[in-house]
Amino acid sequence: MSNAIIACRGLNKRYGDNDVLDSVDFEIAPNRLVGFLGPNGAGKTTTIRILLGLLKPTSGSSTIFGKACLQEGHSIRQQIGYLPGDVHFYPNLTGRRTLEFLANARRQDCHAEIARLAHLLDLELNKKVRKYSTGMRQKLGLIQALMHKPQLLILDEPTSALDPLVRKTLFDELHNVVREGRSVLFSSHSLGEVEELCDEVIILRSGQIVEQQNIDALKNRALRRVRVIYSSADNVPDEFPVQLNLLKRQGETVVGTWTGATQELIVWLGTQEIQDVMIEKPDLNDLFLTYYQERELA
Amino acid sequence: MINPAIFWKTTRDSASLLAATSLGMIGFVVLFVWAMLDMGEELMNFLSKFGFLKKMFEFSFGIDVSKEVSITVLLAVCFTHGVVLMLSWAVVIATTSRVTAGEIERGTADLLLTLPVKRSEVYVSTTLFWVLASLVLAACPLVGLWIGLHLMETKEVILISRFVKPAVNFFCLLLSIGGISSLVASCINRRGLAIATVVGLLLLSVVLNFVEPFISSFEKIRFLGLLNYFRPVDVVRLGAWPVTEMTVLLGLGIVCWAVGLVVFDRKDIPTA
Repeated sequence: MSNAIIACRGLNKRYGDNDVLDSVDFEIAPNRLVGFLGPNGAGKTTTIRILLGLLKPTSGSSTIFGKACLQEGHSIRQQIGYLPGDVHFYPNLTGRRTLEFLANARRQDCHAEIARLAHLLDLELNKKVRKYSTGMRQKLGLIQALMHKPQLLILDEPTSALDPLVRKTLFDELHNVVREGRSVLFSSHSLGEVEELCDEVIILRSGQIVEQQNIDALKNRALRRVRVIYSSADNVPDEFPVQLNLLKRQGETVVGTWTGATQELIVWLGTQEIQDVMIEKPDLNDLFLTYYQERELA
Repeated sequence: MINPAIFWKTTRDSASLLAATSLGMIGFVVLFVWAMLDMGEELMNFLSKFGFLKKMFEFSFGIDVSKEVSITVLLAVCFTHGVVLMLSWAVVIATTSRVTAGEIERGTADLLLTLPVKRSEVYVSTTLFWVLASLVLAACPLVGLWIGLHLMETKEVILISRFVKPAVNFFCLLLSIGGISSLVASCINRRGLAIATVVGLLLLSVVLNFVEPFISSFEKIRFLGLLNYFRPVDVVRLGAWPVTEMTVLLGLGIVCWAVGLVVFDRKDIPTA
């Protein structure tokens, strides 16, 4: 992938004896909406902060637009919009003054885009930031990330304080960004959110890349969390189909992740003496356990 | 090298503090002039009666009260008065620590340092403000003396130009403190701790200069005290430029500032 927007090669970050990132390798093609998925503490924010030049890697390298993040960060950031995971502003400035300051520091005129985004996200800009709610601060953070129409948007858990309506507006806006030929790196710990929004997903756990694949491929795995309650413990079979990765077995309850066609699941359930069944989307832990089990089997 | 937006924001953030402090310093010096013109002679006579107080005054301000002291020399004491020093140091330390340690502690460094702005630009833009602020602060005693001498009658002719040299020396002292404070704020991510560290270093320096005449073994480390290089009474008395002292202060300030720039440029920026 020679024209990669982002490329990381053997990225390591160590604090004392603790490896926060361990040989992180990935590339992101242009014009993609990529989910950066992982539980809290997986190393998503550390990776992002290295890409933005806030942290220096212990070893390895990273490039954005083909330029080295460490050496050319200043020119790279001209084309990046960033929303930190825990965004902080100057409490004594109004929303408008904050955005004007950031636009002036960028030496860019963003007035029109600020007005459009404030209207879109329904944010009052004439209030002082210290009077903003968490959700309002998050909206202000989104506006400052989007206002200069960057080629690459890096959003670190942007939906954490947004209500469902604003979340949908944001997702529509991000789809527009990609339609305009720009790219988005969307960090999240919600699998459902990434499935709903992104074209591609990079999964990170304990500082290591677990998987990078198209979202369609992820969906095609038809991964489902299944909880089966048998009519009695005696009816629980000793063996299960290979598609079912067993996570828990206790009394008459069996919990696992199903990797295969839903039709096959229904057929198998039809052969069992069950009292109840619940089929839902897996959480991240289920997903990781499934990946690890598959790797061990491989 | 200078980002106007960051410079103006730093100016807006600190302008009211600078204005209030400057007015306070000028007002204090006007009162000081009034007190010295009105009661200076009596004060000298009073102090000369008590050996310990006489010695303290001599070590603190370099004036032997038992000898005849001109009012011009006496007025030079305003530059080293605790109120003037504390007010000016407070502004310099507050402004130098605001952008480096302050932005990191507040969490706004994530926004500021992910702009297409080099860290050195942020550092230099802030420096421009505190250098100008130091210039204003160093001029305050001079302005206070000028106002005071215009408001009150004096027995002897006092030329305001005699106080220009100590004012320049004072400016060098503030630049030196700004440089040290910039370095400390680059090394420490908590603003309160950075300020406390600089204040601690300055207090040590003051204490060293104060106790050194009483403890002979301290004479060898006398050169470590910043106030060793700021003796406005001697400057006014001798009338010569304190070139060595100003060079030492400027050199220390520049070295500390440059090391602070390198540290800030290379450091990891943690989350708030």
